[in-house]
Amino acid sequence: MVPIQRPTPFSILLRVARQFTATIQGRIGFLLIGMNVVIFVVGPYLAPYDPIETGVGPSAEAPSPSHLLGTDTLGRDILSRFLHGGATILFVPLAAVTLAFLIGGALGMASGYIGGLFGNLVARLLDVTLPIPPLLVALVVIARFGGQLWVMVAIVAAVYAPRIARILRAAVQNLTTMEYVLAAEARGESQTAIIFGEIIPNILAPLLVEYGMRLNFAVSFISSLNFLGLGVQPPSSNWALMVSESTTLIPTNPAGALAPMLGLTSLVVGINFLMDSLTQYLSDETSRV
Amino acid sequence: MKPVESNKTMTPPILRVHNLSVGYSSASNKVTPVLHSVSLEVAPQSIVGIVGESGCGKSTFALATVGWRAPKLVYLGGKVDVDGFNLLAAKPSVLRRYWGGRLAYVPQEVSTALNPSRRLGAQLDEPLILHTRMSRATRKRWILDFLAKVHIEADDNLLSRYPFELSGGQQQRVALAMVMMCEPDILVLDEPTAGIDATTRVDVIAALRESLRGKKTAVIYISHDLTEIASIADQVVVMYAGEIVERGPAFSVFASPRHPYSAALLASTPSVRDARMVQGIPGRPPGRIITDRCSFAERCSFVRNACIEGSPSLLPVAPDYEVRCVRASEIEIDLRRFCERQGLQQHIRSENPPLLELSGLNCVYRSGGTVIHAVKDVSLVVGRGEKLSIVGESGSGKSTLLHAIAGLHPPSGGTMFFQGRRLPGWSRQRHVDQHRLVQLVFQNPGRSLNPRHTVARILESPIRLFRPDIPRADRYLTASALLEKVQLSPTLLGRFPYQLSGGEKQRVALARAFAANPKILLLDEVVSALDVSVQAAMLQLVHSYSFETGASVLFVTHDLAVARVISDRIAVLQKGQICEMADAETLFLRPTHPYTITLLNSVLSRNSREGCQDGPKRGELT
Repeated sequence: MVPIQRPTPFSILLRVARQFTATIQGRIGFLLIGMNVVIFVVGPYLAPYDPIETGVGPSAEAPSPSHLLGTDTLGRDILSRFLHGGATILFVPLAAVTLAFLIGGALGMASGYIGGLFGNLVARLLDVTLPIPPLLVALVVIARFGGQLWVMVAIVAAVYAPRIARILRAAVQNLTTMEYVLAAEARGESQTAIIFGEIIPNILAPLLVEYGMRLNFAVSFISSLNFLGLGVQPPSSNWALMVSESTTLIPTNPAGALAPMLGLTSLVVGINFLMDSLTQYLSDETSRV
Repeated sequence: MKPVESNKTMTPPILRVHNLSVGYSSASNKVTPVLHSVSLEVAPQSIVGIVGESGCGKSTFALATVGWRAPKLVYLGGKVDVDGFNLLAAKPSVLRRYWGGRLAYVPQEVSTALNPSRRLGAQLDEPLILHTRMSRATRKRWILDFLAKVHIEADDNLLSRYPFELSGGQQQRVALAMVMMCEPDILVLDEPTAGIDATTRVDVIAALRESLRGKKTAVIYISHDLTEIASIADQVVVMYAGEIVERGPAFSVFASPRHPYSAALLASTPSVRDARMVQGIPGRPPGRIITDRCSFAERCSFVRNACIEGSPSLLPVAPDYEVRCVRASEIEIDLRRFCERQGLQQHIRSENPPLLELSGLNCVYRSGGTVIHAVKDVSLVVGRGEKLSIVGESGSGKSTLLHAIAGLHPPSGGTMFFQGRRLPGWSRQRHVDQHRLVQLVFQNPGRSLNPRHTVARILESPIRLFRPDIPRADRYLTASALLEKVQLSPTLLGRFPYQLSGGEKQRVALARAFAANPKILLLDEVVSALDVSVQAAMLQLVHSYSFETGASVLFVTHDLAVARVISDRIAVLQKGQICEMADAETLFLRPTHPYTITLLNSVLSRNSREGCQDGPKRGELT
């Protein structure tokens, strides 16, 4: 007889790790994001110069042994700015999208599960917010409150929450008539237990796709704002800002312009790959009958 | 239609399947054989029925007999000859001239086989355009002619409809007309009545008889339902683990089977003539070819050493009768006794103190401005320990009634009392004990078990809610004990529902209900999607649970034979109203309501080939 064992937290963790890296795509995504995270965390300690100090070298110089990626027009070391400038690129969108998911997710799931008048009312209110152009909202709010990090987080969360709510509402609505949800209702489970125990595990796939997509949109959205000179202000370093600063340097110092671009691209592609891989794994798991 | 056994020996067979072996290739290019050396001859004008549990190779055999080249299907050897033409050696381009013309195949799910976005007229016209040279006007006359044969009132209006505008039974009959129009030599029907209720099933079978009248067509009829095969086939082939285990005239096979597997299938089939309990077959088909011993040995009650020492071959035991069993000659009498099932029915009369009382219950569905009355003024009493069946066609309101009792569909009128206390309509307003003591099991276990939960988690939910005395650490053990109670191995605890078979899933669903120690089990068509052998085991489980704990059972089904086996009393539901309610015996012997009589007459029975077509024949059911 096979001994009966309850799954341990460790075995669950192992399973999740296997889920993330089930496909080659997933492994590449994992690697790309891993590299970026290493730069964000360790980068600032490795930087040879202060990223905002001007005149550490000659202005707009090509790469040399003392400045590996050259210097910008103000004579700042590009490598140091690159190593310092990644964190805000990932962590601001991450915080913003997570906040958007908390607000939008709660609204969407409540309106989908409870339904009726309340559900419809919430859905129509969400619809009203959809046609407002996100960039316009951002410009107005930044003009009034300034470009601090928390303002950026709030803007992105406010813009994305209704969109997330709509998706989750639809996903939850499909499941409320499933018999396993009815079975849970019939045995008297609480609404919270039904939403977290029965429904959420089954909308995990669309949830993760949405999260990945929103994270990517948010990275691009915030980078666009930074590129336009909103949000993070010079002289603090930021990859998007660096792209806009280094456009004039491309003919003389392509490496200096390419570094932040490659950083941004690898981050976005990595997130995409990882989420795709996980989604595929999750849908494979339930479609195997 | 007369059985055509008499002229079968004279006419040469039109279809000869010789030593056919078929496999499926998997992702790693490994071929798993699923059919092993199957030989069969079918004469024109005869109907060969093929029976067996799911996973015995019936559908694969059906596809092979028309030479179908499904993706991943690999022909490993043998021949399929139609009139001397080997289908397996022919190119698909050549076969395409045969398919739909001389070779006709009706797949299992007709609703998915008819193109949902084309009108019926155009779909029916297609085979005629491909295989005949008729003019447009002749084709139309021909179509209307054949639709009439399958009892469909055909006119231009019908031809311009889409498949979804027809009922399931009508779709099945249209598909039948479509394949019969080209007057095929060979017609293969794969489970043509699966998922259709009893009265509709009779229509489909009558339509089949009608359209075969006077034709030379040889028919291969696949079904897991023995009574259906018995009512229509001339010859029966019993398949197990990709092999033929018994082949003989339908009458002989059903009167006295010679193979233990056929006998076990018969013993697990409920019958309206017989109120005694059915017996399941332990285990499940191996799902692969076994060549070193008898493939049925591990589930067989008659197994001896000789059975596991070598693989038996198919040997003739009588003219035109073959059996694959080394003990076929010695156990004939034992098998006959085995089929005469042991009775363990104990009737509990409704004098028992009432457990559940419904009075004047009404349930409605509202969509837009219209109100549909699903349950109308239903009053009934379920006694303690009583097993009450509710029978009726689909759409009669049976499930809605159960949902109302379970608190999922609050009634719009009427009252419910449980153990003398009022039962609120909404699940949320009920006391935890009312949740615990009333347990509902759904029809489709694929939908009632959360696909993302392991079996352990599924069983732990009711333990957590209803058995606070069991500490958290012991829930896992309790869950494993529950699995043993429904005769499943505790090793399944870590599995997800998609890793279980249909029967195993339904047992898990039943175990989840048992976990609460309910006083009443509400069972909604719980066996309708299962093989007879699994169905019998489920019925036994429900019966013994009720016997051991004194729990009542409210059993909803469309199958009268199942109702007869399980219940003490039966209520007949028509359009949301109870039209007759009586003791099981009385209802079957002396039905009074015309609708009950119609239902009873629509039951196919092993010994009456024509019974279902004629008017009421009460005597036959006694």
